[in-house]
Amino acid sequence: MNVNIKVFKSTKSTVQVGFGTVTFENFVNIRFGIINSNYGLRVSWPFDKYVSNGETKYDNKVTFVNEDDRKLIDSNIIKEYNRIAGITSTSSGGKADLKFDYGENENTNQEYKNNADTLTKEDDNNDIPDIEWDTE
Amino acid sequence: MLKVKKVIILKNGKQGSATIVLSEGDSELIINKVIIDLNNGSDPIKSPTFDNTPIVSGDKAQTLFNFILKVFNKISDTSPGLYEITSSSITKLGAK
Repeated sequence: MNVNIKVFKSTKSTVQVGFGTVTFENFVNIRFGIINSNYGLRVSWPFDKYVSNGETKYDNKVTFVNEDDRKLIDSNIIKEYNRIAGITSTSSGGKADLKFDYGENENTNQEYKNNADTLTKEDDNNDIPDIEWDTE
Repeated sequence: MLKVKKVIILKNGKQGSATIVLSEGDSELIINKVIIDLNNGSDPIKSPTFDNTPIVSGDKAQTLFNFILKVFNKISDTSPGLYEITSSSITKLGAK
């Protein structure tokens, strides 16, 4: 899977010291923040914060099912942040782009349109969505 | 290539939400909180956002959103509940 990471250095806050975007296959663009916490730099992914029964709760808007995927992307983000933070002055934001592949190799033999046909065959308009389904 | 594994729709009348499960190989990415509101005429489906920026965007995303809306419209308003959509089926997981 092609993953494109853009990292920006922020000088507006001492807590959120950076931000950026991870783009998966030009399909999903996920914004993230880079937080300078007591435990060092960490990546903050989008979430909803709310209070239920007096207790603060968080709902992730994005979930990496495989924790190793998140760790890999987090480490690349932090690595890239450290790189630009080291080469840019503190008076202005720095920017870096990083591209890498992760996950398994692309399976170009996967056929999916027949399956999409099945789902939409009762549809009067029958405009088959050009969606790539994982049918495995 | 990133593919759609399944979509979970929670329908309650004209409103609801969707969760999209994307995958490639052993890697899976879940996009939560896609908001659907058919009362919101010109903008019935919205991507979750971060700093007011949509998380899911682009032509592929729009195609998928249109598809989700189409399935959402197919489900009767009088049959609220949770639905799982795969490439070949729509399954009701439970009533609301």
